Amino acid sequence: MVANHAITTAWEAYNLSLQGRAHLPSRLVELSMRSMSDLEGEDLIVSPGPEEGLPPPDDPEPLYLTLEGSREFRLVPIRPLRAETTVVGVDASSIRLGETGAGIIVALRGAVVWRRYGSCRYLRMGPLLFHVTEQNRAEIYNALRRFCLGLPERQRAPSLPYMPLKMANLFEQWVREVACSLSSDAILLLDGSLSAGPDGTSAALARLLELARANSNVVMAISKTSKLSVMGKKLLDLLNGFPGPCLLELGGQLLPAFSGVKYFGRVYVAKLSPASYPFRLDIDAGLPREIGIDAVRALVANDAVYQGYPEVLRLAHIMATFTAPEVVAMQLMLSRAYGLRIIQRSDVRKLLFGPFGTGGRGP
Amino acid sequence: MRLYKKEGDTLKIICLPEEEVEKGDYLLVEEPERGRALLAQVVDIQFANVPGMLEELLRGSVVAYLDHGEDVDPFGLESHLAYVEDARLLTCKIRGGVVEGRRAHQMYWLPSRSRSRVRKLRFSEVLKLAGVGRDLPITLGVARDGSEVRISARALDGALTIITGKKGTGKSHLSKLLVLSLMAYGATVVVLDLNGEYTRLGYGRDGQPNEFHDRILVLKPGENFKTTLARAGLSVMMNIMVHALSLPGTSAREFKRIWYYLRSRGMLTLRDLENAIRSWRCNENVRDALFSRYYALSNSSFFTDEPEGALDLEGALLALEERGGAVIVNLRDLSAVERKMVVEYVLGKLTELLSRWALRAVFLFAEEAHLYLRETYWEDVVTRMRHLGIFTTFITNQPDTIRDNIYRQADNIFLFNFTNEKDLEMVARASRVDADTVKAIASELPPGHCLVIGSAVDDLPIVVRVRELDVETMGRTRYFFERAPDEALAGQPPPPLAD
Repeated sequence: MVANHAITTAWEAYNLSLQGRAHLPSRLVELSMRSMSDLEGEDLIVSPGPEEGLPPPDDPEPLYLTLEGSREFRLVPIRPLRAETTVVGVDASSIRLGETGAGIIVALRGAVVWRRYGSCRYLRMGPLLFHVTEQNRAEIYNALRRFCLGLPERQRAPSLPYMPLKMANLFEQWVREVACSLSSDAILLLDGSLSAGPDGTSAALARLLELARANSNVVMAISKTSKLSVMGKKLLDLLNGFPGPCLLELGGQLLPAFSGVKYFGRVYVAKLSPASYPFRLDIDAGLPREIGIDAVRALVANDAVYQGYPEVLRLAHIMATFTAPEVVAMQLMLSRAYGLRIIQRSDVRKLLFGPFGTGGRGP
Repeated sequence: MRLYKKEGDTLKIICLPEEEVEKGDYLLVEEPERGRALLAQVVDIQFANVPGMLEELLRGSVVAYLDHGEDVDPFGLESHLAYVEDARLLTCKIRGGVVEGRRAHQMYWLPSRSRSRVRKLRFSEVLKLAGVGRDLPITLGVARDGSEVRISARALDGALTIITGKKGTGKSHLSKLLVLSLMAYGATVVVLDLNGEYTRLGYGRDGQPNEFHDRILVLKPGENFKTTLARAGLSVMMNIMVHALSLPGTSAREFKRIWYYLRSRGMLTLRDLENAIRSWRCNENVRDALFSRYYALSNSSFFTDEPEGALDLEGALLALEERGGAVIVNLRDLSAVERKMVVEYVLGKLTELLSRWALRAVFLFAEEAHLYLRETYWEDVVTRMRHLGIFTTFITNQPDTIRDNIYRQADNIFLFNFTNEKDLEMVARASRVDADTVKAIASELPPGHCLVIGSAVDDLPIVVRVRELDVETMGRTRYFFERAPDEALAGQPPPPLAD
C-alpha cells in the first residue's frame, strides 16, 4: 500500500460531491431542518433511562444460520507487513431523543478516523436531527435512501420505532462513501459485515466496494458477534485454542443466498493480536484473496490492535456514539432553538409495581 | 437557576454556567404568586452530576489525543455540550424566609420545584432584609458585589465577639477598625495589646495625629504605667498574687494579714512589705513563698513606691468616658508574669469601676488572651463580666485556645481565612452558624476578607472585604526580604560558588 491519501477540510467533505450527487450533506441538513420546522412549542417527552422495548437490531442476515456439510478450514498465521499504510475506521450511530405529540426526534452522527505514520485524524459529521412523524417518515426515509445511497426508487418506510436504526444504516453508508472517496491505498474498516439485505441496499454496498477498489482501498468489516455456525460449532468458537494473530479461512462456497441477503465478502474468523478475542472479519470478495490477507497483515502492523480490535474502529465508534451529556445537550438545544418543553416520562411500571416493577432489570 | 432538592436546611440548586454565583452569595427561592420566598446562602459549588459525564470527558481526552480533526456540527452541539458539562450544583443553607418582602424566621413550607423562581440577591438587598447597620452604623467594608457592609455598633454592645483567622489575614486590622468606630460613638475601649500594634492608632498613615489622637491613651507598663500598692488595693493585689504569681492558699492568707497590718499603719509600700515579710512570724516556707512573690513585684518595675510616678488609671478611664476613648495597654516586651500582673491589675480596676457604676461599660479587646488571662476569667466572660459591663472581643490566630463555651456563647464571630481542618472544626462549634458554612467559606477567604457571623448581621453570614484604615500600620508582619534580592544585592559582586 502506498501513502497518498489526502483529507480535505471538513467543509469540503461536508459539501462533497459523490458521483454526481452534489452537495449531499447540505441537502441532508436541509432535510433535517425541514423536518424540525414544525416543532415550535411542542412537548418533548424523554425517558429517564434506557429505552425499553426497542426493536431487534437491523441485520440483513437471518437470526441463526447453520452451514451444513463438511468444510475445509485453513489457518493463516498473520505476520505483520511492515509497509506504511493508512488505516481508516468508519462508524455511525443514532439515538432517539424523545417523543413529541406527532412522532420522535432522532439524532444521527458519523465519524471517520484515519491513522497514518502513527498519527490520527478524524472527521465527525453530525449530529443531524430529524423530527420523524407518521406523516413524514416515508419522505425522510426515501430522501435518505436517495441522498445517501443514490437509490431513486421509493420504498415503504419502516415503522417509527425502527426509523432511528434504518436512518443510521443509510447515513452510515454515506459516511462510508465519504471515507472511501477521501482515502486511497488505504484499509477501510467498517463495523458489521459485508452483507446487504433485501431492501435494495446491496446495490449501494456493491457501488461502495467498486469505489473503494477504484481508489485502491481494501474494505474490511469487523463484527464482534456472529450468528453463523459451522459443523455444529459457533463460527467464533472455531479459533478457540489457537494463538493470534491469525485468520481462519472457510473454504468452498461459503454462504448460501438467503431471503435476498447478498454477501460481498470472504468470511474469516480473525484473531488480530496474540491475546485477542475472535471476530468475524469480512474482506471484499472482489479483491484477490492474497491482497486481502496482505491487507490484514498491514492492518496488524499499522494500527494499534487492542484486545484484537483495531484502534481506528474503536475511535470511530467512540466519536460517533452519543453520550448521556450529549443527549442532555441536544435536548437543551431543542428547548432553546425550538421552544420545546422537556418533560420526563414517568416509569409507569415502577409507578404501578414499585420495587417489583423492574422487569428483570434490577432495582 | 432551578431548585432541585431540599434536605433538612440544605437546598440543592442547579445553576447554568452563564449564571455567576460564588460561595457566600445569597439566593432567593421565590414563589411570587404566594408572596413568599426562602433565603438561602451558597456554601458549596460542585459540577452537576450529569449521568455519563465521565464517559463524555474520557471521550474528550480521546479526541484531544487525536492529532487533528474536523467537526461538522450544523446544530452547534458543542456549545450546548459545554453548557451541560459546566452546569453546577449549588449547595445552599436556608437562612430564613421572606414573607411579603419582610424577613421571617418560620420556614415551615416547601417551595415548589416547578413554580419557584431562583435569583441571586445583591448584598445590599440581603443587608436590607437583615435590617442591620441602620442605627449607629459601622462600615466594615464591601461585599463581593461592591455593596457597602455596615453593622450596628449596638451589635457589639453587651456582646461577646471573636475575631479569628490565621496569621496575616487581617484580624488586627479589623479589630482596630472596630476600636476606632466604637470610639467614634463615644465608647470606652480598653485594648490589651500583646504586640504593641495599637500604639499608633492615634496617627494617620502620614504620621500626623488623627482625629482620635487626643482620645487614645497608650500605656506602657514600667514606663508611663505604674502603680503603688496602695492604689492597687487588696482585692487587686490578691488577684495578682494568687492568679498571676500562683501564691498558694496558706501564704495568701499570711499576705492578707500582712496587708492589713501595713494598711493600718499607712505603710503600703514595697519597702515596708519587704520588711514585714522578713520580720513576720510565720512558717519559713510561707516566708520564702512571700519573698519570691515580693521580688517578682519589685522587679517588675510596674510597682513603685512613688505616688507621683503612679498612674491614676481610674481617673484616666473616667476622663476618657466623657468623649469616648481608648486605653491601649502595651504588653509588648513584658515577661509572661509581668503581662499577667498588668492584666490582673487592669481588669481588677475595671471591675471596681463598673461595680460601683463609675463607668457605664467598657469594650475590652484582648489579643491572644490565652497568653495572659487566668483560667477563671473565661467563665467570667460569659457570666459575670457581661453583667458588669465588660464586653470582650477576643482576637486570636489559635482558635483552640478559646474554650468551647466561649464559642457557643459568642454573639459575633469575624472569621478570617483558616485552612487547617482542626481550626475550622473549632470555630464550627459556634452555635450561630452551621459547620458547613464555616468550613466551606472560611477556607477560601482571601486575605483581608472575613466572614461575619452572628447578631451583627442578624445571622445572615456575609463575606466582607474589610476597608482600609487611615492609621499607621503597626501590626504588619516584618520580613527579612522586604526588598527584592536583586535590589538588595545591586552593585555587589555575586558570591563565589563552592567547588
